[in-house]
Amino acid sequence: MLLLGYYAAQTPVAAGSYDLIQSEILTGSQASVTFDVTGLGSTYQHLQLRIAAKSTDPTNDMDNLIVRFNSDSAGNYSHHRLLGNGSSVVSYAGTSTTYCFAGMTTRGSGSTFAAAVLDILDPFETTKYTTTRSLTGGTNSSQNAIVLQSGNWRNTNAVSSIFLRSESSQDLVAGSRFSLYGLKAA
Amino acid sequence: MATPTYTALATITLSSSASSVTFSSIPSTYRDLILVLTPKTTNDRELGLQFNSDTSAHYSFVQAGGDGSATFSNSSSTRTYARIVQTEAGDQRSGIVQIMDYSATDKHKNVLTRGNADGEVKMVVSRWPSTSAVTTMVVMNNAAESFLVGSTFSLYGIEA
Repeated sequence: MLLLGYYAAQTPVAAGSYDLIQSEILTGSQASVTFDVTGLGSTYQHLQLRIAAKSTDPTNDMDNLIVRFNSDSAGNYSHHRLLGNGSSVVSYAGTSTTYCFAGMTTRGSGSTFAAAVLDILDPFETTKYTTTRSLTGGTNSSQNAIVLQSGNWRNTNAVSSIFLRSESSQDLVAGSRFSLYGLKAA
Repeated sequence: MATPTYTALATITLSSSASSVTFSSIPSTYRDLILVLTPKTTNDRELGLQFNSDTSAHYSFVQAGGDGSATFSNSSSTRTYARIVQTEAGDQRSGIVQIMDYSATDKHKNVLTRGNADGEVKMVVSRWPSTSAVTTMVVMNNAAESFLVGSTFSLYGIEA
């Protein structure tokens, strides 16, 4: 067995290119989480959200986590999803939807959360729509899911806010974590 | 104020074969870990992560993928490791593994993986059902077969 120790001399890959902007860790249940990203376009090209999420329904299955931009709840979104549930693979698509998908949540009590890494591409460009892509999933006592998904917001406005909630509108519970990172252009 | 992040913690390219690779004394100061690996074994092997020397058969996973002609999905709740990528006999494979909230003491540990092997592309989520902070992580395979020379394992910390 080869044993590797932790290297004391830590070397940042590229200092300042990938920044933690804000991290929200819920201390109690709440319906949604919103990030104000107004003005970040002068610094960052892309955004990434790293998420651990759980919602309050006690059914021990899983729910979806949705995302909206700039408080737009009209039918200006689309999405595609590839989902594996442990026995089959299912493909989903939606057009003119009122949100796209950020990740998943687990539902029920205990310490099981779902995880997601959500990339938001070119959110501050005013010549293109905002594109999302994420890898998300979790295993819970009555349901498992691994999902690769993409979406877009068909609006060329710069993103100023990012809103997240569970698709079933159930509260996100304490311990749910939403960390926003910015990626700079070269 | 933004905080610089994404720190390279350790990188090793094997100059001799090894049955496993261990990252020890992992500090608790980061939010997530990312493992980028390009492993190679003599035979097809299922790779996994074992945390804090826990070899109990209580890790769960669900995976899905495609091989160009068909899709597949399967799962288990009784693995002795958090399943990640798979190797194909003699070929270098690759994967990016996100170990989420590894130091949190209120959550089980989720491991999200995208990888390729055996003429497939796949995605996996695994869970270590422990609220202990991860301090050691062993990269292993399901037959204790050696990782071959040239296999690379790079560990990064994502700032909290």
